Amino acid sequence: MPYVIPEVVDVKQRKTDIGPPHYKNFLPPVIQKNYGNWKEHQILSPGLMVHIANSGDKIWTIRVASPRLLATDTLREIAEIADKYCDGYLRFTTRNNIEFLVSDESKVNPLIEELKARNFVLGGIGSRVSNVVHTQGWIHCHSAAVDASGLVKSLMDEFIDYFTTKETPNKVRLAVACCTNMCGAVHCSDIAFVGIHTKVPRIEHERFKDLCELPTTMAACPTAAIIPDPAKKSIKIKEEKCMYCGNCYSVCPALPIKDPENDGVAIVVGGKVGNLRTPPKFSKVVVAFLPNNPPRWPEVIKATKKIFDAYVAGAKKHERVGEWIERIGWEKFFAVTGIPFTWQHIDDWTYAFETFRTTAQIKWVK
Amino acid sequence: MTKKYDTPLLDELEKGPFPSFVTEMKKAAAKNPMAADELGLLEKSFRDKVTYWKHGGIVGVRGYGGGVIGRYCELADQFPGVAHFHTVRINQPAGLFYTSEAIRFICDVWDRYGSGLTNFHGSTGDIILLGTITDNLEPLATIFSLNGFDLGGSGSAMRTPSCCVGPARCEWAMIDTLDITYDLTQEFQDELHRPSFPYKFKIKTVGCPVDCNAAIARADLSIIGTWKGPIEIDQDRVRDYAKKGVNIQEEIVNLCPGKCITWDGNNLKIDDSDCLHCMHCITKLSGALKPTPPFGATILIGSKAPFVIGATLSWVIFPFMEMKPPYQEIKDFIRKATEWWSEYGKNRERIGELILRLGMREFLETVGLKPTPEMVKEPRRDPFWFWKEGDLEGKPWESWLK
Amino acid sequence: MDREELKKQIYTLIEQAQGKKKYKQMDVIKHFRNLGVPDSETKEAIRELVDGGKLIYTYMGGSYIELASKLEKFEKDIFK
Repeated sequence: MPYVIPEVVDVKQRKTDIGPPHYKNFLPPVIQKNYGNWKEHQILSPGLMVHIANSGDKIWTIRVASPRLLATDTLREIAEIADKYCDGYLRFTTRNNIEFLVSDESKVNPLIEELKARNFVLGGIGSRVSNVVHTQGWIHCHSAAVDASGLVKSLMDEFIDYFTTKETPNKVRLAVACCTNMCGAVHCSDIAFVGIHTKVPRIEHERFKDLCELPTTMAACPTAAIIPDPAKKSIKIKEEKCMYCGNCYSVCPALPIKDPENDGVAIVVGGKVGNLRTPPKFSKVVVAFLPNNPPRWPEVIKATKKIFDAYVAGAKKHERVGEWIERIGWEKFFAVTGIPFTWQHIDDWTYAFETFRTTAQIKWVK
Repeated sequence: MTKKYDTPLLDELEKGPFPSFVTEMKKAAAKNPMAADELGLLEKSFRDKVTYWKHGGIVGVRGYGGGVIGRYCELADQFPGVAHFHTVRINQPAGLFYTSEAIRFICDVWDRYGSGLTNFHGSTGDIILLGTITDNLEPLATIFSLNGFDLGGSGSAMRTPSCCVGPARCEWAMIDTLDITYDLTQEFQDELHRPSFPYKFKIKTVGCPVDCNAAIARADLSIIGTWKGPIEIDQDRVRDYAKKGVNIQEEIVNLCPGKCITWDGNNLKIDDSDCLHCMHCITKLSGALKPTPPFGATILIGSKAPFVIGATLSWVIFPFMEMKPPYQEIKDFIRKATEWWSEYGKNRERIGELILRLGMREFLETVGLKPTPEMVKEPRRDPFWFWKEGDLEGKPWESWLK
Repeated sequence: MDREELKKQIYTLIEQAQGKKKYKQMDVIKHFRNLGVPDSETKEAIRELVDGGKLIYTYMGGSYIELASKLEKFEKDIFK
């Protein structure tokens, strides 16, 4: 379908509620022909797999890393590559990778060579580290406690060998949420990072009147720490009840909570979404605070490496991070990673009771 | 010429092997003044360790309440190019497939009306166009609509549904995730563009229990493909795997959560009546094991990030639903569920939170379902509960004690 | 109630609530339900007002219906 951009745009011509274009417009012919009739796939290398249809037809997928934030120049570059090798067909993965879809086997190796020559990074398929799911961070979000893209880049530079070549016991899914609102929903990832605050929001009483609604603001607080301040036509915060989540700021701009010195990064681990072997799991807090230290967040990277290396060394084949921890037990996890167990690790919120140990089954660790 | 900023901190992030978002920003900044100021602003955030964006959920296009995320900069004087820097969400094609022609079209529009910066894709699944001014919104939406694209969802609305790659390129897809996603997106265009719900409502569809789109963790409505037939076994292929070094006993039999597989060194046996449909054996022995019909989906409801009551995973509502066009059963369910939620939900209360507040019984009766054991991990623990008029009518114990 | 009258009343409701209460679409529908107006009619009237550019959807942690004139004021304030 030819796309048209008129020189002069008549906004009255805008059509509404047409929804997205039909996906069939974008499927390569070999996929259209074998849609729903795939037999199996083989991972040929960390950046290359082939899917084989019941008809015997094949399609090769070459996966490359993407920073998710893409300039139109780069998009044009990948479109040009797709034209040269893939009859123009490409896709993206739910973890932001780019996939070139090749129907002609003779074009697979030349494409790989060209991608390497252009400095694209191939990998991410199979039991290894794939790209990171993440949020906007300082690039575009008003509630970001930390940046997301910078942290992702620093992490992936550190673990790049596990994207391009090395294997892990099972997939390791990383995710970054730049505040506890978690629009990236990182609460079920193998290793995830969350931007957190540690101080009570400041109340701008003058602006509160104009910008905020009392009931909505009070309802946003998970611990009922917000109470009315009728004299000021504003609110008060019971400091001893505040957990610095920042949800009140989402509904009320007059309650800023960002703080360059006291915001930081927490690490949560052991979540998964797949149903394979064990049911989906939540990630749990293992590091309650590390400093927010751009551009490379060295403390966060170092801590992640401790967890990651302990997992690679200790997990059995096919165990995800959470399955490995369940098998060895949390006391052993803290022992082998050397992470100190602190007050913040013991839940004192909604699910606290569910997390206390109600058995005498304990492993003795040094 | 666009303005040039010194960016020593961000330059640091151009080093190293992984592709750099800073390089992307610099490419855009070289030709676009908005992108140039965005780069300068980000450097300042990196230096000061705070964000400089304001709330701004008020702009949009005529008639819609979703699809545009208003964004304004706190430092508009220093960085006038990003004084307004709104996000436009474009509803992605299901499965995230594109042609080069479509990609170039999006680039052409965005180079003319925006910053030249994009996300492929946002967390919910939309194509994200980062950074434009209020005056450009109507022309943008017009051009996209004339070329078959529409805005995605935002606000207290149906959000853009998304899915895994599904039957387009996966042998395990047991439902047509792309078609379901396209069909539901079209069905709920009004709910998607005109926020009428208490809060957001996300739908994610995946073809099998591997869940490559995190449906169970990130969607108010999670549609997860599954099967009811036996697992078909190609014994020769299993033996091949064993010969190539797969330890069938250790890696397959011992890791089966249903403990329903046996291996005598030559033949693999599965007791399908104890299979939990987890997908482990099928994915590890690709091509050797295969799920068989009937195919359908497990429908779950309620997952979300932590605010306000704590993070949730979706829980089972329909253990098994057939998923065939025109998908009437799931559409009716979505309408009934969202109408009930719109009626009783408080502002910013997700549907899962409302179910927890008013009770599963209330919800299940509203949507016309009876309780089944597949809906729970275990029955309740404590011996007090609600009775409704009629629960004991007709002496229900008599029939099963016969 | 006749459609134009309903639209006028919806607009007035939102106008008079300015600075006091923010209405969500369902709040408006419930308000007129109590006055005997069927939900679907209120919904259609809201849509006509929004399509006509008199009302807009706004978002502040949740979506509301507000006067379209608020946008201009908002953008003016924000650059103050």
